Amino acid sequence: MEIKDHINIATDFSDHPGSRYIEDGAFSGQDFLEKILLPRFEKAVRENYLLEINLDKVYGYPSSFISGSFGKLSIEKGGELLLKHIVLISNDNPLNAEKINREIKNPKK
Amino acid sequence: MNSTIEKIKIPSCVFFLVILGMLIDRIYLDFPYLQLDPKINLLNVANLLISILIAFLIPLYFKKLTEEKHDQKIFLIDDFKELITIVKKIKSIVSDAYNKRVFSTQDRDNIILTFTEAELKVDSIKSQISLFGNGSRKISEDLTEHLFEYNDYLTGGEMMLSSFDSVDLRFYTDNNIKYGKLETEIKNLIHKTYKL
Repeated sequence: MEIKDHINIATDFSDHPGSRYIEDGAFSGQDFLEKILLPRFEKAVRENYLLEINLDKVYGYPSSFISGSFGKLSIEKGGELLLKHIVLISNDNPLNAEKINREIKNPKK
Repeated sequence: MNSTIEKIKIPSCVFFLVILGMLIDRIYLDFPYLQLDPKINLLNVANLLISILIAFLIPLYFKKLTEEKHDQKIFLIDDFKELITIVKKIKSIVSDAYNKRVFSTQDRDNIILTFTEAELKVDSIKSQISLFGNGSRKISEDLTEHLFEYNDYLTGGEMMLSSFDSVDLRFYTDNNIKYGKLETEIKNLIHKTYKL
C-alpha cells in the first residue's frame, strides 16, 4: 500500500498536545481526532492507502491525548484497521510511536 | 686524537665479543638439549603444540570478553540510575506543588517534558541492553511498561484537566505510591541486568 497523505502533529495541530476531551483544555485528543485524524483516516480507508503521521517536534504526548485520539479511534474502527492504514514516524523519540501502538492495541475505555 | 680513540675502541670490541662467545659457549654446554624420538610422528608433535597454544589463548579470549561485558554493564547500570534521578524530578514537582498548595500549568508542562526525558533514557537503555541477548528483551519490555504505567497515571488522569490547580493529600500520597513502585521495579531490573 502506498503512502498518499501525511499529518504532522506539531505543524498541523500543536506542538503542545493536551488532555482527553475538548472541555478539559486546549489541544485535546478529541479535538485532534475530530478535526484531523478521523476525516483523514476515513479517506485513507476508503481509497485504500497509507496515512503517515509524524510525531516529531512535539514537547511530549500525555496519555490522555493519546487515549482521546488514537485510543478512541481504535475503539470505534478497530485496532487492526488502524494499524493497517497508518504509519507512525517518530525519529526524535521512538517511544512515542510505541506508546501510541500500545494504546491502539489495548485502548483504555 | 681520533686515531687514539679508534685504537682503544677496536681492542674493547674484540674483548667484549670474546667474553660474549665464552658465555654463549658456557650456556650451550650446560643446556640439556632434546632429542626427538624418530618413532614420534611430527604431526602429533604439531598437534600437541597447537593444543597447548589454544589452551593459553582461549582463557585469554574469554577474560577479555568478560571484562568488556562487565564494562558495558557498568555503563548500562549508570543509565538505569540516571533514569531513577529523572523520574524522581517528577515526584519532586508533585511534592513541591503539594507543599505550595498550588499546581500550575508550568508544573504540568514540566512533568510532560520530564517524561519525554525519561523516555529518551529508556530508549537509550533499550538499545544498549539488546547487545546482551538472552533475557535482555524481557528487561527492556518491562522497563518500558513500568514507565508507561506511571505516565498513564499522571498524564492520563485528573492532573491533565485545566481545572486541576492544586495537589491534595490523596493525590500526593497516590503519586508517592506509584513513584515508589516504579523506583522499586527499576531497581529490580538493575539486579536482573547484573545477572545477564
